[in-house]
Amino acid sequence: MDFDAIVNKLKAKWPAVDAPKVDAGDRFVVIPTKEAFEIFKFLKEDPELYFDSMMSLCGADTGKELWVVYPLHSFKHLHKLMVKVVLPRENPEVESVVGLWMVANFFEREAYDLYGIVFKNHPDLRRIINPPDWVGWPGRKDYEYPEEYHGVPTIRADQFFADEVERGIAERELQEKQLVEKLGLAEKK
Amino acid sequence: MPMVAQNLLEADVKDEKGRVQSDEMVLSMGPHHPSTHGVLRLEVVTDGEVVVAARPDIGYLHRAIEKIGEYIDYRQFMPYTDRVDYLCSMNSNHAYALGAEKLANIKVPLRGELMRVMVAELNRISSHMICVGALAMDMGAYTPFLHGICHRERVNDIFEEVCGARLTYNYMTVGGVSYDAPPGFIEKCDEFADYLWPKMIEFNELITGNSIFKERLCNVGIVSPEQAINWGLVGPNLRGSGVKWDVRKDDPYSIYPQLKFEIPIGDGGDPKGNNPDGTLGDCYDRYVVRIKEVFETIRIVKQVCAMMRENEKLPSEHPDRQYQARLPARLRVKRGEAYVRSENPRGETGYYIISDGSDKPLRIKIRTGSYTALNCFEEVTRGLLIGDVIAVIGCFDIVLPEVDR
Repeated sequence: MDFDAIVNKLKAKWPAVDAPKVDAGDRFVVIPTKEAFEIFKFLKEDPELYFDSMMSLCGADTGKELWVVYPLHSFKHLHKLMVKVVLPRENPEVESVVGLWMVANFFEREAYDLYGIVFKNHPDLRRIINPPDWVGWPGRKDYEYPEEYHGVPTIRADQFFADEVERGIAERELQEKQLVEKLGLAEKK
Repeated sequence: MPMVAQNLLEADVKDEKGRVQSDEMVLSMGPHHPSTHGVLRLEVVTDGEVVVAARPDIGYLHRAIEKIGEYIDYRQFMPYTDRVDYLCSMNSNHAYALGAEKLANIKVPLRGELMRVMVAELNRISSHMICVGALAMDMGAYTPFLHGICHRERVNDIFEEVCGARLTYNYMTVGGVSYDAPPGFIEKCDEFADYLWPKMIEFNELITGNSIFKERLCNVGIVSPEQAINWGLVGPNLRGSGVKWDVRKDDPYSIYPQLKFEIPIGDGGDPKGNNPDGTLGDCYDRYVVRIKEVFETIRIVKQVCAMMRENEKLPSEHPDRQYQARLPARLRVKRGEAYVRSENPRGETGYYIISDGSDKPLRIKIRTGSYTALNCFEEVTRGLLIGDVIAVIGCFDIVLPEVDR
């Protein structure tokens, strides 16, 4: 099936499904968050669509809202579809699709780790790439890099070294000056 | 009999089926284990020698490559794609270049495409050499690894002449390749293809039919075709399970539609196949698919050599003779998003790029084959012996920089 036929089929069941026009790249479908799981179930199990494979799952932050993009593919019919869910920045929540495609397990954990998107009914939702006690959502546009982690400074080593050298030079100059004053050598110079 | 021993005997050490219950032990394998192919840590829950669960713990090599991509130009991101998968930098370059070109709507001239396919296929050979060699080394045979490294060395020499680097090439660019082919390049590739074919037959005699090697791999880590699709396995791992799917053939890009090659798939359990004693989708199938793929790749290299010879005959001003498309100094891309995939040695690599209309991407997401292979690792290794876990890692051909990115 081509893209328009798939969109019409989805629109007949869920009128809220939208397929905006794009300037470049792939066309995609935006689906409502509340009915996301039913739509994915339909996409996977309908014999005409039969999207048996999930190519990727991607969280993204545009600065205003969060996206979760699901590029799907069917090995039987050889068609592709990009499905997008738009979420607010505060308390983003969407139903997990691990029950439909097992491959989504690590992808959803990654989207949670980087963007703080909570996938409901995920079997094991915890951080995957960052350490378990990491604070904040590093993928977001407004993320501020922490200055230290467990007492270890995260400033670049050469930067740190340069500071040390500067401090060392200043200290040494001060000591020399004090020595000169103490010995009374300043007048002789 | 002492009281303590009596108590132990009568203690509740049998489950409801009458089997003796033993204690489970958690074994931490890695992150600096020689056979985990990088900094992978496995949390293996073992019952004696049997694996109850092997959970991968990843993230030791996270360099935030995707986040770096949001702060730099489209063309400046190219060196970072080398570091995503250092065993096949050319293929990683190609995958990203396809994505950026799709968004910016750029057509690459013919000679650029020929050079790209040539170096990508040569890199596929060198990557598979490391994979099968390292797998044999993990299984206890050291010699095949040295054979693989020797063949890889020749590819590296060719690449050194092409772009000056031996590991992270940064050769392709958005709209073509960075440099034209050096003098004598086609002859060297042709010579390499002629050299490798008999050497691969020798390699097969050395290890592929070896009965100890087969004992270690047959009927280990079985993945059925349905599971392989649902678990998101890609590339040789998917084809090892008997699914005939190759992005080069079924969703073609570049000049692959003009080339003739077969897609090898696993044939476990088939009395006429390579693996009559095994099961479809076991580790040996995944290994044999890689070996057969090397032969197909040599065929592709020969064909591209012939096409490049034809291309050389054109006058140097001809548009098909150019290796790079003419592009503005600052590349601006229209608002949009694209998901492209290409066939890498480790399977389908997808680049999902969002553009907001400026000269920097809004988001780059890299989907790699090793990441999804680790996703189903716990399911595949359940009930295996600890030694077989190493075989599964080797056959999935996991490269850790690709997992952590």
